[in-house]
Amino acid sequence: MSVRPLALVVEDSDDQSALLRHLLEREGYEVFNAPNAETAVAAFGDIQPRLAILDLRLPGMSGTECARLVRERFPDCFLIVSSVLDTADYPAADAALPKPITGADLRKLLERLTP
Amino acid sequence: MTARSSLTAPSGVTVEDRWYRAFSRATPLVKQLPNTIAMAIALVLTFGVPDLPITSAAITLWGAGIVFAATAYAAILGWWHRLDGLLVFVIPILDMIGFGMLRAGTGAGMSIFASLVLLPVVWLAMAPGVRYVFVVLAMTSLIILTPYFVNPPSTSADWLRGVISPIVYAAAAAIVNVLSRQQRRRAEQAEQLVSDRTKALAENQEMIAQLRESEQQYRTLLESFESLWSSITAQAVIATDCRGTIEAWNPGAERMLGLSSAEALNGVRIDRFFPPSVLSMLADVHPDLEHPLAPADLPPGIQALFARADADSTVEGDLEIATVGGSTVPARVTVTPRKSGTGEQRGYLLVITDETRSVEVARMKDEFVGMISHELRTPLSAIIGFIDLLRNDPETPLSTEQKEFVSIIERNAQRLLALVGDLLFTAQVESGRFPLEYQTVDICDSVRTALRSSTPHAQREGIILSAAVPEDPVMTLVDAGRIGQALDNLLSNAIKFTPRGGRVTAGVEVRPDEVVLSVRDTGLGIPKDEQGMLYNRFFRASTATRNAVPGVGLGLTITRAIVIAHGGNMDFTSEVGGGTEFRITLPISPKSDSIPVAADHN
Repeated sequence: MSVRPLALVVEDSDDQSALLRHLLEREGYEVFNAPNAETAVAAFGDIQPRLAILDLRLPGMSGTECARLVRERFPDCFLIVSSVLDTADYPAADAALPKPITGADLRKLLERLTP
Repeated sequence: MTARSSLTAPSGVTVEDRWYRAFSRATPLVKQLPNTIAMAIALVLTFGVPDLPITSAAITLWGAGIVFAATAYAAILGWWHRLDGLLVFVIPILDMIGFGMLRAGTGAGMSIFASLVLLPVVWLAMAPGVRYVFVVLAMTSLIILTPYFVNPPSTSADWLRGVISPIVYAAAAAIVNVLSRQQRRRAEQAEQLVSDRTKALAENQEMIAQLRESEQQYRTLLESFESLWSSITAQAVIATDCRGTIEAWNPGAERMLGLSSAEALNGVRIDRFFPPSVLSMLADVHPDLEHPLAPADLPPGIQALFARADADSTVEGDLEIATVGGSTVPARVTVTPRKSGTGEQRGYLLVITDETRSVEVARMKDEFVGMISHELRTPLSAIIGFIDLLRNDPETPLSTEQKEFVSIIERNAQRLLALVGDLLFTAQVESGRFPLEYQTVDICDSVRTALRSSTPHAQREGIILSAAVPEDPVMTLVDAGRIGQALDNLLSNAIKFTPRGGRVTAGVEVRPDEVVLSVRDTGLGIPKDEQGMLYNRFFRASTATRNAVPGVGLGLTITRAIVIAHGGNMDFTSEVGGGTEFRITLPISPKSDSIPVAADHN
């Protein structure tokens, strides 16, 4: 069992999820990457994410719906919405991380999370 | 035209041409015929019946000869078409002489043929004029007295016979003469009446023909109007009276609003097709306008609409229209006052165009541009994210040169990203859908903030920035972010178009109900012929291209869209070589969705 906290990344773009993986690993997270919401939901039984970064524009189930399910299943999980859409259209979450994402932006959010 | 020929008598045909013409205007031969026949019978009887006396066969035959000669003469006159006149009256005179000689030859006073003289007497007496009565008197006297010269009468009674008989004949002739005169006059009157009637009939025919022709023209006009009217199916065209009651309802209205013409013309009022929200919006835009002719229960929204149509002669706006089925249709509504030929106000004409499709097209365009923008943003996000990763990798730090290269890549990626944002924004503006987040701010603060953020740019270009804002805060209800963006654009333009050493001033001026923000520079100015194109998307002034000023030509379009969305307006003055001043006029508290009037659309 890993001592590193787990981050769930739901992101359909490979490049974007690779970027998030690098940034999160630099911050000391284990990353579980799901290319769509359905995969993420299917994995709910095996994971216990401390952090979830969700894209909104996803194939199949939308990011908004996915955010609702994550919140329901893991109420303590820190929920971050990250999208190219206007932040005005984001669903309720703990934080918003509009694209393009930089390491500095992410770090700022994660500082709030570290107890 | 069969109807016409059957009603109009052919010209020249009168009553004389009917079947009885042979008797009413008989040829002399026809009139002479009874005389000839009578004479022939008399001759046969005279020489065939032995009991009849013959005083002188010679005179009798001479008499018959005269009558037959008269008959021949009558035939000649008939041949010449001589039906009237003295020449014709020679015939009965000759007949009288002939019958007189017959009488004389067959026993004079004892003759049974004496009364035959009545035939020519009647003929002569029928001739117009009293003189023929005297001719009759003279002739009969002559006929009766002639035998007396040969064989003078023995008794005074015989002499009396010579006087009385002619007088009786003359009296009879006089009666016939008078009667025939009356008859003639009556016939003439009848003739006159017939010709008058015929004339009147012809005139009526003419009039009917004219009426038919004008009716035809009217019908043609009506048909073309009706076909025109019924072919307007894409727009609803509705005429109302001054009170808003529907008076005309075209097929387009039937189709769009779901009410048949018969139902609509049954006292339906126009406000039925305006949803309550639209009515209250119309009333709010012009609460002071009340229509003088409208009934009190006509909703104030419709009254305001009518009053504006009266004032401006035409009103156009995009409104929601309610159909009978309960749904609403986005529509463009044009209201025009309707006047009679004498200029008297008859009511209003509403032309409603269904905008469902264009709204749909705008939505699709919006969606498309949105999708494209997001698709562009995704790779840009990856570029910017990985550049960031590269630059901040603690394990393999970049060399100074590499850092410089990476920052150039990043700057260009950021510019692309900004451009995509601007494009998306103009698309939202075009489709009339971009959200404003109103909050009350001190507009002077917004100007100062914009100046502050422009300072590095101005310093690089060697431009002096200054503010001309009032001391007191000017509290205004605006979307502070968007207004900041508008000011940034204007300041950035001013700095770009001003040569080194120039000055850019941003100011705030407070007027009643509105505030004017201005950005003035001492720059290149905008050529007159290019000023009209300034707000076009992607337009760049020749001064910009000539002086290699960077930009794509979206800044002013966006700025103006922001200002208009706030219910404000934008103008400028510019002089080539003297500088340019842009002014933004904003209402201090903006109207809620004002109805866009035609002039506001580009």
